[in-house]
Amino acid sequence: MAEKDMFREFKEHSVAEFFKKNKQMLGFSSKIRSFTTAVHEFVSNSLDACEEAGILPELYIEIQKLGDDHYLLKVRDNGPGIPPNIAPKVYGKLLAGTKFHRMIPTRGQQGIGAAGVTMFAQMTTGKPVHVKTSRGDGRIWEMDIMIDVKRNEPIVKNRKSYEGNWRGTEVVVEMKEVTYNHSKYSAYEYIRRTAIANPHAQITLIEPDGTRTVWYRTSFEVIRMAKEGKPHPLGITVDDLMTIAHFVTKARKVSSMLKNELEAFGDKSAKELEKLVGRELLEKNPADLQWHEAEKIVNALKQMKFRAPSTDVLISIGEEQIKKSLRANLKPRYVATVTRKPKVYSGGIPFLVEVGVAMDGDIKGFELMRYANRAPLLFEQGACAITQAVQSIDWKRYGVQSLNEANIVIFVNIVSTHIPYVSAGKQAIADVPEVVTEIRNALMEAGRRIKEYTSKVSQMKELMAKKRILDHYLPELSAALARILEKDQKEIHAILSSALEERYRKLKELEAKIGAGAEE
Amino acid sequence: MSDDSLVSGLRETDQAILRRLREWAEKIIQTAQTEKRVYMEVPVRTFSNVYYDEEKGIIQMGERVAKREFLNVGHAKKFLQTSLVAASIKDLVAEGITTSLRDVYYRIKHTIPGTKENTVDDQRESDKAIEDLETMLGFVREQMHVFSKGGKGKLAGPVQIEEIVPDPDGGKPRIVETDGEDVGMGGWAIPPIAEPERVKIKKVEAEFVLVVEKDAVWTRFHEDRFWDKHNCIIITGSGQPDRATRRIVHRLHYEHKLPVYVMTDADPWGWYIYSVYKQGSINLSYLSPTLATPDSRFLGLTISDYHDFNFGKEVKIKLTDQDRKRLKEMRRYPWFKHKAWHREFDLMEKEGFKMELEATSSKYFRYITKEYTPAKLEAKAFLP
Repeated sequence: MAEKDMFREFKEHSVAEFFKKNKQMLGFSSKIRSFTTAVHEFVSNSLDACEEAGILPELYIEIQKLGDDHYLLKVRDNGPGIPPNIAPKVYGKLLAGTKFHRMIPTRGQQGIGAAGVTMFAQMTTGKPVHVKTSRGDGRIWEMDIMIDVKRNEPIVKNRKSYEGNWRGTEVVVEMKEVTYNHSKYSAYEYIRRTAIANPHAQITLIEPDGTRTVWYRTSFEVIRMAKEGKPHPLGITVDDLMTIAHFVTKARKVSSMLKNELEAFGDKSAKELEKLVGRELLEKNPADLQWHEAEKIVNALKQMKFRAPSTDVLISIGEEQIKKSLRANLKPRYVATVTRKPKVYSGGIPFLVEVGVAMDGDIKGFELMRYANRAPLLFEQGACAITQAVQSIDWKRYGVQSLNEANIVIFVNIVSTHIPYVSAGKQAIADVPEVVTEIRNALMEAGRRIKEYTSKVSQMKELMAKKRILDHYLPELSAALARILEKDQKEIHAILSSALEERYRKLKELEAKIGAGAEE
Repeated sequence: MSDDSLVSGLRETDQAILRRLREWAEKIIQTAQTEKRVYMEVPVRTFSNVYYDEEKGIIQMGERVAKREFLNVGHAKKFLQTSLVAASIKDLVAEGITTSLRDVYYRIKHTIPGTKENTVDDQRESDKAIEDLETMLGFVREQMHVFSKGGKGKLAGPVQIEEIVPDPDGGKPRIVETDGEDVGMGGWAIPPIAEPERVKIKKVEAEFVLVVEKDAVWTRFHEDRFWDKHNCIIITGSGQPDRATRRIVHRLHYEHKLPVYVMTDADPWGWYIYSVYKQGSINLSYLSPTLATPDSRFLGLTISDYHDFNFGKEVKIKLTDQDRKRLKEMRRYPWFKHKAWHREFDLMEKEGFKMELEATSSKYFRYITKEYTPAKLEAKAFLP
């Protein structure tokens, strides 16, 4: 289903129907994926909130198995908390909109929001989500939240507040038709990858069998809060414009909406646009804007010239932090990381690419870790431009004979105010030429660095293999020299062998040094 | 010189070789203990370490020495091969056996336990190891009881020779005497080892040595008793001479002060053979001091001879491209940097033909011994 149709349905039908029909695209498809999506919604909310408040995130995730395909999920953070009057909207109103139009590269962009989880829980168990939150002001709020499916409004029950010294948000949800394991699409994998791309976060996971895993932070840098920007006219999509028109803007006319909500769009731009789309459309009330009209505006904007968008809203993890994190989490032998300078695609959307390539050590096999704004992309790997870019690289040039036979982890994070997804499922990056080129550039830059490592390794391997030959030569040589000297062969052998061992020892030391710090 | 002193000469050299081998092996062991490195120092025998010693008039080996390290995998095999050959030489010398390069190759060839690899796969490997040992130990392989195929060289003329033949069963070496005038059509076969320990050149009545490139032409000289008529020793190396033939020429010149004249075909290859007798070869540059005879003179054939002796044009053989290429290379050799030679090169290139020694028979069969050679000797018409 096209985004266009999805949008229309949301307007025309009840929330429940909308959700049922679009469940697949909203991430609630298979049992395994539904659970992953739920974890994603909560975890990304927590991390985004912490970052905006300048807090080093500390997450506690607990998963309990209640029955067949029946689980309880608890996610707690040390974030800023949610004001008690806002919390019902966050968990009880679908497409509440807050993060749909914001020009901050947040993780939450990816999904439908936490209310989607509420909807899913409600549909599979009939139970509300339980939320406990405090802004650290000495008062803790607790409530059960459901969605009034006819009106798309929250229903709050059992709301209570009491005194307490705690800050953060804890949400507990019970779901059926879900499952939990360690497969590559699982919530476990999602959390693991989240930990890797968010080295400033400490994440504790309690699994159904009681296993406790803690991913400690390797970075103590508080992620700077992104400056919120407005969308740039050249980067805006029809979907964005429709969302802004129907949910965000307070403007009465489309023209004033554009001036208010877009970057670098002033009176002059309005006049130019009028020539392209006609006065009538710009005079329209945004609430009545139709998909085809929004499309017309977006196409017209593409023909116009605007001031370049600012790129300072992009938050990269950074080469150092990626390196530290990959080292700590994967225990590889060698890591090369590259964070590229921001670029712009489609003429107006800033983005940047960062990659890490980790090899050998504890790494077994090939793994591609894709991220959009640090949020892991687990699904639709085949359709993703990151995958295509990785496969298009001639890795042999960098000493990796075949990715599938190498012990290698390739980490790619795309940072953008607007990630170009292939579809509403938001799990695959579209093959936008500028983005693909940047991913390739980043990978090749990292490749050139790993080349130094791989060539050292293969050199050493070759040397060690050949050295084994010396072990076979040694008795022959000892016998020959013993014959000339008329001495005991064992005596000669001992002397030569000790020289050989000495050389081996030095080689082994040299080998141990490869990788460790070699990229520094 | 008594028989006993001859024999003791052989023993002395053998003892010196055994001592030298022991020193050589001891040094390897010592440095393995002190430096924790296992290496031998091999003089470099490539073209880059070869130079023409103008003063001495011979091709010499330079000073460069390469460390061959056992612990360097690239060298290990060669190191092992050299050591295996050294051990074989020790056995040969200690037991008094003389053997060929091919025998040594088979003696050391075997599969290395634990691998599918042979110690040597090609005789060239063991041959090279022997050459390395010659340069490292300072003895030629002939002294170390190893010869090549041999049998190419022949000699006839007024000279008394004694050969000392060792007895591997521990008996007294045999002494075999030869009178160079009292030999059959085959002449005295120069033995593969012509070192003083094995071959004594005793009485020499000849006044000069005539080296004839080709075996067949030498037979003409021998049958015609040229050596008797001109009081000389005639020698052939049957083409490219082996070490022993060169050694004998060298020794006749240095031990008995005999002038040496060389005859070859008038073509670049023949002329190069002359230079091998005279200056030595690039391959065996380290042996030049004992093999080369820089005072040798070239008697013929030359392209000038063609004109001077009025040969018919039917003896001409057209130069091939290869001949011209070789000629070009020879022009660059420093030991051919004489005006006289360059005049001959120019003449050959200009006239575009070469000529064989046998072509002298176009006049009549014995022309070469009756007229051509005596005339050249008489006129002292030699090239440097």
